[in-house]
Amino acid sequence: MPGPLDGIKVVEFSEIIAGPVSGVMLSDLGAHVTKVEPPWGDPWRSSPTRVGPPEVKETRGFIAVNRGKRSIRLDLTNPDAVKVVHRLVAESDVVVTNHRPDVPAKLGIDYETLSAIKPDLIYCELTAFGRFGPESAKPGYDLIMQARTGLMATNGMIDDGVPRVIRGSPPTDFATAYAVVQGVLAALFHREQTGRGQKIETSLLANALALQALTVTYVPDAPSAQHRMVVDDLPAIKAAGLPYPDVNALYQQNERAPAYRPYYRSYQTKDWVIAVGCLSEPLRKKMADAIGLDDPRFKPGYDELSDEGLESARNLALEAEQIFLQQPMAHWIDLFESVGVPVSPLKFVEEMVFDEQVLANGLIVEHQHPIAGTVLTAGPILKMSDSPNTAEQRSPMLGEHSLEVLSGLGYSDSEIKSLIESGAVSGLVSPNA
Amino acid sequence: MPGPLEGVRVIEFTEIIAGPVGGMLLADFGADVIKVEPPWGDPWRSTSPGLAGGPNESRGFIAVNRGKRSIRVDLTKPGGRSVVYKMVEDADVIVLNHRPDVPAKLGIDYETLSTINPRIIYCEVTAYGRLGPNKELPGYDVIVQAVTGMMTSEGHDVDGLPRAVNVSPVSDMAAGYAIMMSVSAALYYREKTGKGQKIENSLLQNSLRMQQSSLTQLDDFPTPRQVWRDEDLPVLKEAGVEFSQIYATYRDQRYNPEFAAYYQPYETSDWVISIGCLSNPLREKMANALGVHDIRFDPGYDREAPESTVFAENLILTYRKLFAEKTTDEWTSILTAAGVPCGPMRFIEEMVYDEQALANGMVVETPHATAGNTRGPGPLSNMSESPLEITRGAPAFGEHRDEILREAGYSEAEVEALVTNKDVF
Repeated sequence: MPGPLDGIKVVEFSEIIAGPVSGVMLSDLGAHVTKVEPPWGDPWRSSPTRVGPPEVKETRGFIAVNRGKRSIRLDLTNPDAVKVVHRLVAESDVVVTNHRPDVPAKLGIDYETLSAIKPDLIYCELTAFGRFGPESAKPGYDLIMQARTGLMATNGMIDDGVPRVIRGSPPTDFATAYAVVQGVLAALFHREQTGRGQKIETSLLANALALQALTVTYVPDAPSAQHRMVVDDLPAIKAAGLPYPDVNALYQQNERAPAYRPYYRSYQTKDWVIAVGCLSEPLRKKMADAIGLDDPRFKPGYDELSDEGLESARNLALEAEQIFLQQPMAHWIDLFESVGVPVSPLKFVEEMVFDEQVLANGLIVEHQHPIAGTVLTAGPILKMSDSPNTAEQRSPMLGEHSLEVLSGLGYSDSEIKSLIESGAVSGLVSPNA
Repeated sequence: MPGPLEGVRVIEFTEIIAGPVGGMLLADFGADVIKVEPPWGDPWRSTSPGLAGGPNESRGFIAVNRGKRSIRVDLTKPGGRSVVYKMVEDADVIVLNHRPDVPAKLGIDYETLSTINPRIIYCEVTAYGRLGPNKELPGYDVIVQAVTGMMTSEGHDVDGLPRAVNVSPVSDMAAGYAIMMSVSAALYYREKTGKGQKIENSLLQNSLRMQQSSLTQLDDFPTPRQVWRDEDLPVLKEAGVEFSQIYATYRDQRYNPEFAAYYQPYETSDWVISIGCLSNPLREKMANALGVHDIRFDPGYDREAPESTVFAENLILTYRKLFAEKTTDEWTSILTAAGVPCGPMRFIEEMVYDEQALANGMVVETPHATAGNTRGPGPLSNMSESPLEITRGAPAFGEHRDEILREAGYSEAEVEALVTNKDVF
């Protein structure tokens, strides 16, 4: 059975992480994705995780986020290369770009130009800061957006005096990739019903805020202590030149939701670390009962947000820390699983590639790469009963499919030869070149 | 103009964050989303952070249930079940997040609902997936962050313990995004083929997807980290070495200083600025803007040589000194003029008034029956032909019972009987 996007052709002009990940997901859903790269390749091909000689431009970072695509190398400053793109778009359904807002028009790949060629085109443009506003022309990456939107400050960890970036995953890049796919899919559904294509815009900024949906809504009209500190006091704090770690301490002391932290955190046991996650009162009661914690807040009418309630939360956390230290991890996991309390041992991502649960659900896929050898990538995120998602192809080498794409568009051998000679199109880099 | 999912009806049986976020995104795209809640409500309604407008309304709930209608139904009763089955007849999509055994117990499993409505698109979110040894286990974001290595990759350490990414529940949010994505794909597929289907999705899958780069970077057998995992880690665990010590070793191994100087926050003379250069042309621009000669960009320089690492580590110190000499505003002007991506550090509390966010409609205010107006993030995308508009806030507890039942074809007398019988609340 084919995936739900079987027959859909996507042309991707994108770099680094956010745009490329969206292309992987569209490919997982069954779309045919062609990545148009500049002659020097997506800069992520030169990220610090190089495999093979530098000139072939393969890195594990690139391989991770470009699975399932074809690659064509085009010099879009050459009019003949732009013509190739226009022929490619004429028989495609979707275009995904991530550039600064002024770039697509300069390269001749803006919505107005491309939708004139293909009127029902779905064109999804991803920018850092959105199309409007004073910063719309600025470049930005995940890290910038983490700093710019409060993600980094809220996370609250300090290294050498400055806040530390969230690096378990670049969250705004991934959220934006998911958003691109959503927009494209919703637009395909709309096109199926109305016959019309459209332009979709999303941004790292929009998704950085969406990831903080809970926090944005916590910012109340009757200001919280944190809100007051930021809105009323911050200018004075900045003017006074307080070192950032001290500012962070002020900010974090008004932590938004401390009341139930003892039930949603990690603990050191006698031999290893576990995480417990209880977000509802029945679960919290189960956990408290299981470890013998006497929590006064379960009494009807008790105000957990009173000073006394918050003090009791801090004391309960200290008490729980001592309790967990007394028995090894296996004891706590057996106990919690028997009473239905969510619990897990702490693992390293390096352990995931052999993880029984991960493998049982097909969440890791393996490919052979001509330069990198065996490569593993995170599998499709969905299982769909009538239109399965698959990850059949590895990431393309730079320009691997240049010739195939051109002949697919009907270019003759001699036309292809002259495009290559003029530098409008480049083929695969030979490691021996 | 309506959103792209105008006319699509979604019935949601979800709790806490992942499932509700999926339903909220579907609503943002124009779908009509009905949240079926148990008589006691989604437990997130009574979470402590920021209670708003009564015991069943928390800001946490309001944040992730915008744009839906709410009805309280007792699914353990035949009368309650029949109401849901009647609603399913006219629905397009079902979204659930429960442990795998729960839907069948409540009579809302795919087999039952697809018999009632064969075109139904049924999207299920579990913690660990439908297969494997953990398939029956419950799990929340903090569990999944621990179980997939996200927490240890994060490298934060508070009193010797790793700390979760807690600024946003990232695997919950990713699973919510994935619900929206998969339902859209299935709607498109149904337009073309007429067929509905079952979709399965898990926190585990999404947490791994968020770590896509880490996963692919660690399979080059045998890297030092691989050797450490296979040979040293079991021995260290067995020997009872303290976690904080093991963790320190792990972090050292993961740290790659090569271009770290070009992608990190720096303290300026008055605040903090974040710099993000991930390509060599941008790195060179930054070095030039700071008046530094990065010898590694010289033609023919061997970046594999040991001196290269020493240079990289010293460069960070050099940049720290330089950034401390000027204000954040001064650096922002200099770097922006040079085309180097940078941004000042902000707090989320500042974002609700942020000119850039407001100019793009990225923060919206919606009404609530008891909590007053509340803010939330705007739609993820702007769509030229089917624009996304956010008008409805989160539903008050059971707010839309009468209108939902009326639409399902119940008469007033029948509604009264259901309520008297406590099938519906």
